[in-house]
Amino acid sequence: MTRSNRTLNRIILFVLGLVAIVAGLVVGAGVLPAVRDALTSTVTLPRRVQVSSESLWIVAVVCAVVIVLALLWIATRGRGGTSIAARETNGDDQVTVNVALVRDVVDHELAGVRDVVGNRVDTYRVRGSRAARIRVAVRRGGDAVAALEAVDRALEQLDHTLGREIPVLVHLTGGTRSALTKQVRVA
Amino acid sequence: MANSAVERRISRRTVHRSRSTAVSVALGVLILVAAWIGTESVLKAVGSGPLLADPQTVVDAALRPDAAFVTIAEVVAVVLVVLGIVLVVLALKPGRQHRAVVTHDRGAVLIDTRIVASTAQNAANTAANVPDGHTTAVSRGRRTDVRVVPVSGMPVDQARVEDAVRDRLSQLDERFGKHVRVHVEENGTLS
Repeated sequence: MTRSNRTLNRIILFVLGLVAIVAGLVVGAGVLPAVRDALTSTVTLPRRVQVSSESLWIVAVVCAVVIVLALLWIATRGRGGTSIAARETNGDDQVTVNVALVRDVVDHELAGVRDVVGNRVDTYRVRGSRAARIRVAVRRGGDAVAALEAVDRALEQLDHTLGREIPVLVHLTGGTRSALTKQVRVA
Repeated sequence: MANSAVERRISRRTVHRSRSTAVSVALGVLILVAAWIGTESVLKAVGSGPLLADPQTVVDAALRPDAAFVTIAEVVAVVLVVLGIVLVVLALKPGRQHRAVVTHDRGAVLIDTRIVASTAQNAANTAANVPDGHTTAVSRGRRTDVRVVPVSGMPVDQARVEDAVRDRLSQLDERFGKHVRVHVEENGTLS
């Protein structure tokens, strides 16, 4: 749901993994004869590398750049959440619908449904439009068909309230809360 | 299935795991290592004493360690290789979570496979008329396997149970209904 770039995430993981493997092999070649023998056929590792005093500053600068980039990447994960579920502009007038309204409507419609133990609603900005994610926790041993029917009624009510259909993701989960609830037996 | 491009995108992004946590942890480790290397380089360059070891010692120890560093070098090498393999596997695997996308006219709907299984179990329970705990269901992807243990002396009609489960799951998505298998144990138990 968030805006993180998943392909880049994968690429970063892959590159870091390769770097770690290569570094491990280089260190391993120094101590483990088996690794050394396996590597000598393809690459020859230098027996000694002299660290010159000029390269020290280059290493320091490279390290600083890596740290800054890594911190930036970590800090920008998971963006895209918003508290505005819909926005409508009409001339000079603007109407915004807060996520709390969506929450209230869904809460109200799902209250008292037997197989539903809870729900969470968040809205996100996705590709320039706004989408709501409704996570519905289904009771352990509960019935997905009944829960989905209840969610459908809630969505109908929501569309009616907002006067238009916003993109939604409905996720029926068995979260930790539903794992703790009792199984209900229908006679 | 999702109806708009936005809904398709968000359902796809919910089915597949995000690697943000893995990336953040890996980058955190990288930051620590880079900070240490950077600090040691600067200390060496300005002529102060090292924190742990100056860069030259580290490079020497990594390439051809003397007796004191052999164990450390071995451990570091193994840890690095294992960590690297874990990261590469994380990067390349599809990272699907145990959720199924369901065809639905309004919204994108995802259901945890555990809940699909419990739905099948409920239906089988009612159709076989056995007490709770006599049926177990396992879902993987769109395939659902149900096991029924009959109550002694009360035969269970396998076809009837299968129809009931198929019926129930088809209400969620036709594709679930097509891959249902019901197995009735030969030996019943008392409840």
